Amino acid sequence: MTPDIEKIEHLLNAKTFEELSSSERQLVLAHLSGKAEYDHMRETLLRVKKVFNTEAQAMAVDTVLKEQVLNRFEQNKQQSVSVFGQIAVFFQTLIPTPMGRFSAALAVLLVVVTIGYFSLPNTKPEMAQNTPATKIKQHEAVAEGDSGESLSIETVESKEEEATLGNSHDAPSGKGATFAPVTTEIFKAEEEVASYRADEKTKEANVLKQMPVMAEKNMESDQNRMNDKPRTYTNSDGYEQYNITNNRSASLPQKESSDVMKDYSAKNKKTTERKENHPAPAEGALSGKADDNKSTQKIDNVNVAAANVQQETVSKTEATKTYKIPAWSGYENANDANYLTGEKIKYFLLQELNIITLEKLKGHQVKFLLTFNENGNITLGKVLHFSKGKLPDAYKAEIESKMLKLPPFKFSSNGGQKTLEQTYSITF
Amino acid sequence: MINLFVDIQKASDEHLMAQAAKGNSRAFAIIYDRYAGKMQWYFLRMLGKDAELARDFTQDLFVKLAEKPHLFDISKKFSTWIYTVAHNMCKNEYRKQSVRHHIPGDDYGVDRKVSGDNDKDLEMHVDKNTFEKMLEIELNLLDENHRTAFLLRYKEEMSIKEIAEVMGTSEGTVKSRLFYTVKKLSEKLKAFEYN
Repeated sequence: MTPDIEKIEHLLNAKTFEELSSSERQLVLAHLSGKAEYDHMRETLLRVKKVFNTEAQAMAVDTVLKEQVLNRFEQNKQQSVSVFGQIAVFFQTLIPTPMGRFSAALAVLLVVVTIGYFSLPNTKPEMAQNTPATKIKQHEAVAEGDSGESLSIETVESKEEEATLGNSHDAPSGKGATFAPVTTEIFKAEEEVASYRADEKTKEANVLKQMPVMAEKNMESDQNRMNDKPRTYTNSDGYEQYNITNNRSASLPQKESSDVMKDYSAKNKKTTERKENHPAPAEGALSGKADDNKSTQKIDNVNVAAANVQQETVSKTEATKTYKIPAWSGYENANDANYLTGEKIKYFLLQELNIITLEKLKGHQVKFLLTFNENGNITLGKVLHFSKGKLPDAYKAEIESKMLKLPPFKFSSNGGQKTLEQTYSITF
Repeated sequence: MINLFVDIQKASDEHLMAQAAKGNSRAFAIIYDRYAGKMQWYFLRMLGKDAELARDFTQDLFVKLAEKPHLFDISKKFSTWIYTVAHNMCKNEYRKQSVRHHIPGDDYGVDRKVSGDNDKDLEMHVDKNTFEKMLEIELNLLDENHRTAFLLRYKEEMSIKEIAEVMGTSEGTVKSRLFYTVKKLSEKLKAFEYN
């Protein structure tokens, strides 16, 4: 009968013979001759452990040997570990727990989103003009004096109003300067949205169209005012007197309509220049209109960029796609470093296959079976098919033979009896 | 609050080996620090207290590990695995040459006339380290299987199951070997026990 060494050891370590219970003595005496032998064995075990511990502690670390071994490790380290891989390894070492890595990734994502939010153009005040309810500042008044000096007067958002003679008193004196009335106009919200959604040319065209109309209106109103009889009142002496506050034309030289047009043309030119220097965003893409070349180009750029992002996302998704390990394996966490990914398989094959085979495989999609068995091993099943016609058997055989050398991505098994076959595919 | 940053020094052997397989030299260095001394001690005990041979074996073991860290199956326990490798190395060595049982002479301070295993022929002068020296002698006289089981059990404190895995044998065999070894050693060394 095989003695229960673990039980006897426990007793030898814990109790003297006298301290044993009757059942324990019975167990011991079934295999030992008596108290003396029990005591000898107990003494031996206790002293042996003491000796072993003392010896192990006295073992000095061989630094020379360590250096040699580490140098060999560095030499044999796979060259394929990229800079980003090393960074990933560093962080995986730093944060070995999957929950920790997830939390760190989440924190980084939040920081990136926050930075992106505040750096996006939508957060700038100018972009608020695109909203329907926004009023727009417009126009510049250009004052042009007789000497040809141009004076710009700061525009003020205001209701449409006629310039009064009173304002003329605010004009610079001494130079005979005259100025065209400052006209502001408030676009209605709907008109603003419509104009911004139009293409650049249409917008410019609209503005240009409006300017002469406005000029005409203003001109008309100017003319009307000029032609109007001056308002008079009877002063206290009974004489008629001009109310110069209401008749600006009384002391102002008449302006030719052509000069007024010139004013508005100059104004329009400045407006155009301003628009060119600060173009509106590619709203043409939103409206769907692409009459303008600039809008078209911008639309194309946006579409190409979107396509690139989508393509990149897809390729990244494929590269980092993980294949589910069976639940009974015990490795259910997708963040586990041992997860088999398409990228790992592909990279491995790229290293293993020769150049000729690689050239022939371009564009092909390879599907193959991997089997997960109860022992937690992954084995290559078979190469199923290639997407673009049939390759020579030699290439197929080479892939299969290389994949047999796939580094083991093992996982623990909870003793499940199932065998799962899962199809993987990679595209060269 | 979750501690996201776990000290690599406290990482498990299996995790460190997984990192070493990916080229993390720091992880491999920690593995070396943890096991180099233990393996060298094991080889020293298993190879007749030949210090130079033990060092060579330790170097061979870790160089192999450095060259192919991915050979370690992370689903297994690393300590069991490395001792399995070491055990196999010793077995190969035993096949190559018969390991001399190093029985020291007078420098151990023991006058001993050995006539087989007859304790009656034993005369000794007990000094301070006699027990340890005699333990060494007796261990060297053991069969390598008994010696391996004894060292793994009472030095590395491995379970019966783990020892069986290292040695490639059944648990029952390990139990009987251990019991026999402890019994025999106690008989040989009882003369050197403290009074």
